[in-house]
Amino acid sequence: MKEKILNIIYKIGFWFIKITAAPGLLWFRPKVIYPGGKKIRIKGGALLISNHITMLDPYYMQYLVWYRNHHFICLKEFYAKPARAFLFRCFQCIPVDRENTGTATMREISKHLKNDELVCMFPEGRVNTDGTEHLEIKQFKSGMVLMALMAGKPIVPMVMKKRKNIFSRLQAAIGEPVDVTSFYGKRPTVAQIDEITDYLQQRAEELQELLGD
Amino acid sequence: MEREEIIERLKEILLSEDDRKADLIENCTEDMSLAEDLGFNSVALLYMVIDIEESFGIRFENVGINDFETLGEVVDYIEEQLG
Repeated sequence: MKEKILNIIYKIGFWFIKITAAPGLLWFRPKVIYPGGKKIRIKGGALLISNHITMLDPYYMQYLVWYRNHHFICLKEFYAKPARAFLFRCFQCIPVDRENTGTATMREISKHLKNDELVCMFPEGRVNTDGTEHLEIKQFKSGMVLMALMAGKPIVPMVMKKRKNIFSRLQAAIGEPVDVTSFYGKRPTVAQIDEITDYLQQRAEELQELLGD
Repeated sequence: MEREEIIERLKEILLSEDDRKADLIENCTEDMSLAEDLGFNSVALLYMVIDIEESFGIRFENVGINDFETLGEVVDYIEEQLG
């Protein structure tokens, strides 16, 4: 009963944030570039992966892919403070223990993907703060491939461009969904999972080039 | 199911995951560390859990990848689940 009431409160919080943040579309004027120029709409269950350049990235991703509800994978330690925990629950985030990833987390991500929902994650693992203007994408971690394999859903690569100032337009490039089972079937080896990870990294780097400086 | 049988099936699972370590896996012992001796990273360990669940028909109830230090501990858990 208590859980049901809490879920209703989180849902109200979610829609309150969504509605009040909607005017932000006018401020950020999100611009999405697609390889080949053909618009790609993310449909059904998918794992949306992006480079991670600021703490505001989850917020930006919601403007860039505004037509979908997002589940973000975020670190368990972010839930330490009650106010922040409430916010993350409203945003339907999935907490993950980076030091000791559990089977419950895996199952939750898989459940959302199988329910045709959009799960977002940052495969670099942390905010990229190398201080340069053209942020080189760090080595992707391969966990995302395992999640996509478990759920049998594609991975959609996305790259966001660093905003020069607060007035800059929000820009990103989104690539074609990648079916991870199309490489080595449903049960690749660990080495093959690493190869798929490298392939996704290459796609992301190409998207970054498409965005330009 | 006998403990020896569980170990053999576990070795098959590990081999199907990473055939580069065939020699190491075939000759591994229960006291070997999954991370240090067998060189399994977090993804490989999660993958192992998925395969064990399918192969043995058991479920790992909110178990973290660091909850198992050695191969023997994984075998203990499977034995316990199989009753």
